[in-house]
Amino acid sequence: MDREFAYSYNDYVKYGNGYKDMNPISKLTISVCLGIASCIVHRWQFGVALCIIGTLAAIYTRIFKKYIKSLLVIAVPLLLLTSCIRQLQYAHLEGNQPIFKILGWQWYDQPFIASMDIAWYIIGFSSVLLVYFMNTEMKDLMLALENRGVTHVASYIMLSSIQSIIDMKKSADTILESQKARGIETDGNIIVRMKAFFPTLGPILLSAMSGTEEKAIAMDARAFSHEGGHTYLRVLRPIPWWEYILDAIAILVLVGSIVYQVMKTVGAL
Amino acid sequence: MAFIELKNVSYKYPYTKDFALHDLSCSFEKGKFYGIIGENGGGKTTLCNLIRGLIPHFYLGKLTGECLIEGKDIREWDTAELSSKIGYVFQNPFTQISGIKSTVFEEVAIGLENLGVPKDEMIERVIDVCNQLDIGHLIKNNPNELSGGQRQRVAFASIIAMDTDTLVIDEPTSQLDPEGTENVFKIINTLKHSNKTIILVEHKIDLIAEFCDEILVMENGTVAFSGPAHEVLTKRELLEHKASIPEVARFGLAMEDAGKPLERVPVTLDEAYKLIKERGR
Repeated sequence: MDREFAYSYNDYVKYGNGYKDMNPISKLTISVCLGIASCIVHRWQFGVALCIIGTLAAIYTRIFKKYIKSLLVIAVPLLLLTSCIRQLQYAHLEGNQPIFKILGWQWYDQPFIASMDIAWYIIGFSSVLLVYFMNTEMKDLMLALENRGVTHVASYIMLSSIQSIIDMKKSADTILESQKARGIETDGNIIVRMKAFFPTLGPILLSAMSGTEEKAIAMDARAFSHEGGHTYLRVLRPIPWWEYILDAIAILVLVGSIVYQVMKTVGAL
Repeated sequence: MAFIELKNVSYKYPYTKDFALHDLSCSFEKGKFYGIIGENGGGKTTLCNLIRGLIPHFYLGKLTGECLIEGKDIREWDTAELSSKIGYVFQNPFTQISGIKSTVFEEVAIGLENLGVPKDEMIERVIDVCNQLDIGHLIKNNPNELSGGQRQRVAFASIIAMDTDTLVIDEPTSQLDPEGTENVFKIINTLKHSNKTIILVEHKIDLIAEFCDEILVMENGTVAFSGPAHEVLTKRELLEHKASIPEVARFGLAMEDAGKPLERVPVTLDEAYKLIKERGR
C-alpha cells in the first residue's frame, strides 16, 4: 500500500501546475468571458491574441501536442471555408482592393478581412476552451460546483453520463470484435462499417439500460440518498486572491467588449 | 428479539405471474452468520433485496406479509436510513463501481463521503479496509479499468468501509479464484467476530459449512430447511431437494448407509479428519 498516496488526500487537490491548480470555476469564468468577448468584438486581432494566450497556456501546462492537433482540426478547415465563401459572397463589393490570385482566382481585401474576423473569433474561443477542458478534470469541475451549492445528485448524473459514454464505446468495440471473430465484415468503407455498426446499437442500449438499474442499487447501497452532512475525500484549495483578480479582469474584458460593440453600433466609435 | 423477522411474506415482481417469495417466514438474530443456499431461481436474491429494502421501495410489485427490521415494517423504513444499517454487496461486479471516481481509494471512500464521515477518519478506514481485502496495491488504479474479481473486491471494500451492523452479501465470490474466495470468507468471518450480522448467499457449500452459524435452504421462494449449519447440512432430505451438501457430509452419510457410521456426520474437512482419526484409535 502506497501510504504516501493515501495520505495525499489530506492535502488539497494539487497538480503542481499554476493553471491546473486554479479553481475550475475561476478557469471556466476566464475562458468563457474571453471567448464571448471574442465573439462580441468580432475582430481577427482579438481572436489571434486569444489564440496566442491559449497556446501559451497549452505550452505551460504541457499539453501543446494534443492541443495543437485538436486546434488545427478546427482552424484549418474553418479558415479555408470561411475565406472561400466570403470571397465568393463579397467579390463585387464596392471599394474592394485585389490582394492576390490563386490559380487565376482573384482575392480581395474586404472579404478576406471579413473571413479572418469570423474564423479567428471562433479559433480564439476554441483555443481557450480546448486548454480549459484538456487541463480540467470533470470531477474537479463538479466538485467545485457542489461547493457552490449544486446537489451531489446533479453532479453524479453529469459524471456518470460521461462514464456511460466511455462504457458504451467499450461495449460497441467488444461487440464489433466478436462480430469480426464470427466472420462478419466490420472494416472497410463507410457503408460496410455502418452496416456492421447499426445492428449493435440495440444490444448496447439494452445492456446500458439494464446496467443502470443495478448501478442505482449499488449507489443506494453506498448511502447515496443519505440525508445530512456530506463530506469529501478530495478537497479543492481555497480560491486565492489573485484568481479573483483574474476573474474580475476577464469579466471587465467582457463588459468592455459589450460597451465597445454598443458604441460602434450607435456610431460613437 | 430477532433483528430481522419475516412473517408469511409473499412477493411478486412487477409484470410477473409467479411469486418469487411464497409464504416465507424466517428470522435473523444479531451477531450471527447466516448462509443462504438453494437452487437458482429459489428466491435467494429476492430475499436479499427484501431485507435490504429494495423491495418494496425500488422494486414495486406485490408484497404481502410482514418484514420487520428492528421491529419496524420494511415499508416504513427509509432506504437511505437502511443503507447506513444494512450493507449490500451483490453479484455483478461490473455495475457495482460508481463510475465517477478515478482511483480505487476514492471508490472505497464513496459510501463514507455520503455518510458524512470526517476526512481523517475516512482515510484511516479506507486504508484499513484496503489492507484487509488485499487491494492496497490497487489504490491508485482506475476502478473502471479493473478485472471482474478486482472490481468485486473493491465493491466489497466500499461496503465494509461503511461499517454497517448487518451485511447482506449475494455471491461475492462468483468472480474470484479459489485463493480470493478463501480470503473473502476469512474477511467475512472476521466481520462476524466483530459482532456483525452476516447474511450470505453462496453456492460454495464447503465454505458455507466452515464459516456459517445458521443455514437457510431456499426452494421455490420459501425456506425448505433452516437451522444450525451442522444440523441442516447433514440432512438426507437435502439431497432430494437438489441442494448440495459438503462432500464430507456426503461421505459421512455414505458411511452410515454402509453400516459403518462415524460418531456423527461431518460437514468440514477438519471435522471429518478428527472423526476418522478418533475411529482409528
